[in-house]
Amino acid sequence: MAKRSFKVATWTPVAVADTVAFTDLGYMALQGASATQRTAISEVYMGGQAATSAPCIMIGARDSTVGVTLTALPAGASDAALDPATAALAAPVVPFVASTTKPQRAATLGLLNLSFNAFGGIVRWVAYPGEELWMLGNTASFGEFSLSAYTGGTPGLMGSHIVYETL
Amino acid sequence: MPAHPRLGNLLIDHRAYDGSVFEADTSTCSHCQRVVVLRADRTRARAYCAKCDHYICDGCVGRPCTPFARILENFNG
Repeated sequence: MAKRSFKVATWTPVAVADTVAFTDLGYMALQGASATQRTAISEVYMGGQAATSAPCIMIGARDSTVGVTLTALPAGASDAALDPATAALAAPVVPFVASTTKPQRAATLGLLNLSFNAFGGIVRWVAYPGEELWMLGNTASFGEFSLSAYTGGTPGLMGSHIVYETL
Repeated sequence: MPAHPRLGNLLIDHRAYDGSVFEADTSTCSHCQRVVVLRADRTRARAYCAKCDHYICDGCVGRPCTPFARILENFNG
């Protein structure tokens, strides 16, 4: 068990309604690596980088359609252990921002609403230890968690990270 | 109210935009895992499950107590 941080240095969310396919590079997602794997999400942070007012309706949610054929993280995105002594898991959770089959946010399993203005705004949610959001397995709807923009607003440039820990 | 509320934290900082800052405790619903912002100005009683001794979200009020942790335990056998 060790905490890891999945960060994307700079990106612009693409707003979509629930149960609509995400757009590559317009979301962040974590997908479990095996059918029984459990992962706790303990922190979500977004820092606005937009040059003008950019209200972002950011939603942390489970995905009712999970990504398939996940693409490796692009430049500026990374996934790293918080503790350098962390041993690599045999089957690590997969962080991704693009895939062949796009994920879709579940309509009924939204867990976090982190709306903010990306024009210099910052939003940070931290769970109390033991009160994290849990992922389970690698299939819908418990096996994937995403951070994405809901329809509305004018999503702007931001940087973000998700801190998680696989059991 | 739970014996140990176990609250998270939400910070929305717009000081660089309009000078406003919003900070509040949050609670993770023990039944469905929705994160609830505990607004300081709420006057209604907060939804609480005495069975699992935890805040729950308004949507889970009146439903049977099935903590998400138990769902995970059952899944893993």
